[in-house]
Amino acid sequence: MMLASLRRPLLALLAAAVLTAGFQAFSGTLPAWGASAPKTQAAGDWYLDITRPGAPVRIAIPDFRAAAPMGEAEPAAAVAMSDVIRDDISFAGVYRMLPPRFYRIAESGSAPGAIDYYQWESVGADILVEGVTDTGGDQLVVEVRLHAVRAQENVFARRYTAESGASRMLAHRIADDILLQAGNYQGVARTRIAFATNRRQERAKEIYLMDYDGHDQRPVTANGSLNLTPSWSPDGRALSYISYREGAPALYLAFLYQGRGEKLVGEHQSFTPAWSPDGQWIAFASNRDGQSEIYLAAADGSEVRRLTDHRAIDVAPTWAPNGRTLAFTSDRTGQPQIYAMDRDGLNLRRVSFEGMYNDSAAWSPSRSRSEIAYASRIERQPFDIVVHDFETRQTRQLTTGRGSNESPSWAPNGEHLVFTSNRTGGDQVFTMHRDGSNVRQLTRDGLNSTPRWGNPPADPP
Amino acid sequence: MKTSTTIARPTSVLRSLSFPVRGVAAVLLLAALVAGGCSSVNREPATARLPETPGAGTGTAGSSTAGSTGATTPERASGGLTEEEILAMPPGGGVSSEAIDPLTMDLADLNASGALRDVLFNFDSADLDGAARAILEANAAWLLRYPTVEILVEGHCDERGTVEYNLALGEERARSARDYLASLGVASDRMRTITYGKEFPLDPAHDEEAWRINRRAHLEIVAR
Repeated sequence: MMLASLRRPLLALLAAAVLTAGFQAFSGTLPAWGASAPKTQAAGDWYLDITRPGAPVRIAIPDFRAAAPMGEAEPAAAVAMSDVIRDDISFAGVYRMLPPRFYRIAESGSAPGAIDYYQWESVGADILVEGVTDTGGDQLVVEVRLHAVRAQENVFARRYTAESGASRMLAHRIADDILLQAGNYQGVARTRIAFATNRRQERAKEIYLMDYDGHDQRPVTANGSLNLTPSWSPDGRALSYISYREGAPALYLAFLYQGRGEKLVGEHQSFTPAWSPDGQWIAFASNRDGQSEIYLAAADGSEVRRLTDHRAIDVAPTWAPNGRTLAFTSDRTGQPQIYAMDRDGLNLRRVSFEGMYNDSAAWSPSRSRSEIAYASRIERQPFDIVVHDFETRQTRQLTTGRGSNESPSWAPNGEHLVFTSNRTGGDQVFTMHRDGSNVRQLTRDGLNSTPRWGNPPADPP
Repeated sequence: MKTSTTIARPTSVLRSLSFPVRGVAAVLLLAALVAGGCSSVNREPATARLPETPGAGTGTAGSSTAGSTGATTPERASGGLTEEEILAMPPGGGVSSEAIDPLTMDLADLNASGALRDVLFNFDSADLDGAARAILEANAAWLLRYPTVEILVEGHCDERGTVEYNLALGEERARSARDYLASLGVASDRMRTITYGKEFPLDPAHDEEAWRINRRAHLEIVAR
């Protein structure tokens, strides 16, 4: 009974393994079941088995071991990977991380190389993650095992192989697998954030990329002009953004793994592109007919059509996850407020009723919730990030009293937001949980704006 | 009328000069204005070239003995001038000047000369108030006088709005200024608009005065 419920997520995992990017993954010590495994409800059943109602699930991730250390370097690298994984798991916020001092207690009671489930249970662990690293040539091999402590069962085992320089991304991949297997939770450890920054030249802004945790910040553009408002393609392999490189702001595309870019929509001025969830369309604002209106273009720049027609400013579109509805900012009542409309421009309705000035809407990609975030000026204060829930019709405020907070964008799982704030001085990029907790600062240089959180890069087609 | 609506680029040039030079510069400015009859105040660009001229001017005037430099040059004290000749000298100590044709200046100097003035806006507004219209009317008069000049009308916002909305608002401001210039007879094909949102504040400070001058339409001369 227990075993049956345990195997289902594993089957799903093995099926998913075929699709995974960047790393070769093999089933480890476990027998390989058929490749035609049904895509079931992933690990949800197993998650229920280890959960004690009302109690948080506690996870223990002791430092990974180096299988055959030649010197100091390998054990240090193994510990560094464990740190990344622990940080990723903590960020998700679905488990309580068992304090490391308990690890030593549990390990000291166990025979070397063996797992003593009773020892781990006695220190309160529900889940134990065990990892062994090995380096051969320029290859890094990591074996990871996930144990359900009270069931005394190794429920997940996988061997990962990557180039030795990719250990950090490999650790992120392991963390996402752990979250998926143990909690049916879609992690964001392999996601990245695009943003605009003037850190290189004061009077220019370039598009930059960074990992979701702020690591590996690097430029995408380097043209010395203004480059703003990036938007991710749903496959995480391209960005649409506006650039002033030829004078007036126009829409450009950057293909991240092909080293090429192209101008998408050139004539007149265009702003604030938003890539549709199916990747087929790009919504944007333009003054091509006079006022700033919302337009739709096919992702190759063709078939430009107009969606709004009003004397007021219409700008900053965002797509609902169903791909049929858009929200945007309009000042047609005299103040910027958030509106929604169908993809053909019909069925216009107002979304925001609180706040004197609302802009930069971001529709949550979550399929289980229906909510939208935006920057809101309440009374005469600076901006705060708020989230409007379409079901309850309630609006909750996520930031309060700490600088001006702008340009929210959702993590692909709808559980976190990235935004800018000047709470520490100049405009910097921060992330927080969707309830406003766990605020982390990701950038510290220059002035940074319009961060956008993207999906992990898909495999090339 | 609020004089504070100008972005006083010419006066800031004056301010950067040392004090005595500044006085001479002001005199020269007045002289240029008188010489030019009722010509527009926008002849100020001459100030950019001023630092070379004052030595020549004051040296010939008899009143220069007030300074020690004049007194130590005896041949100049006798000078070869008769009293009649000295008395016959025109006011201004023999200084003559002519207005510089703005169109002979290079673009950077021309734009720095303050020939065209910025228009300011209220918060979250692209509407032109009386002061804004008056400035645009002066700008239009200048543009009609120099019909070869082409301009880029830049719309800017203060930092208190959001990045995205300000891109659209800056465009509204630029278009608002351009449309009024067009209504005053400036040909539309001489003007292009662009928005910079809140990306390029004129004053990077975070106070009311900075915000006030940052909410602007700037007329940049791009061809002449």
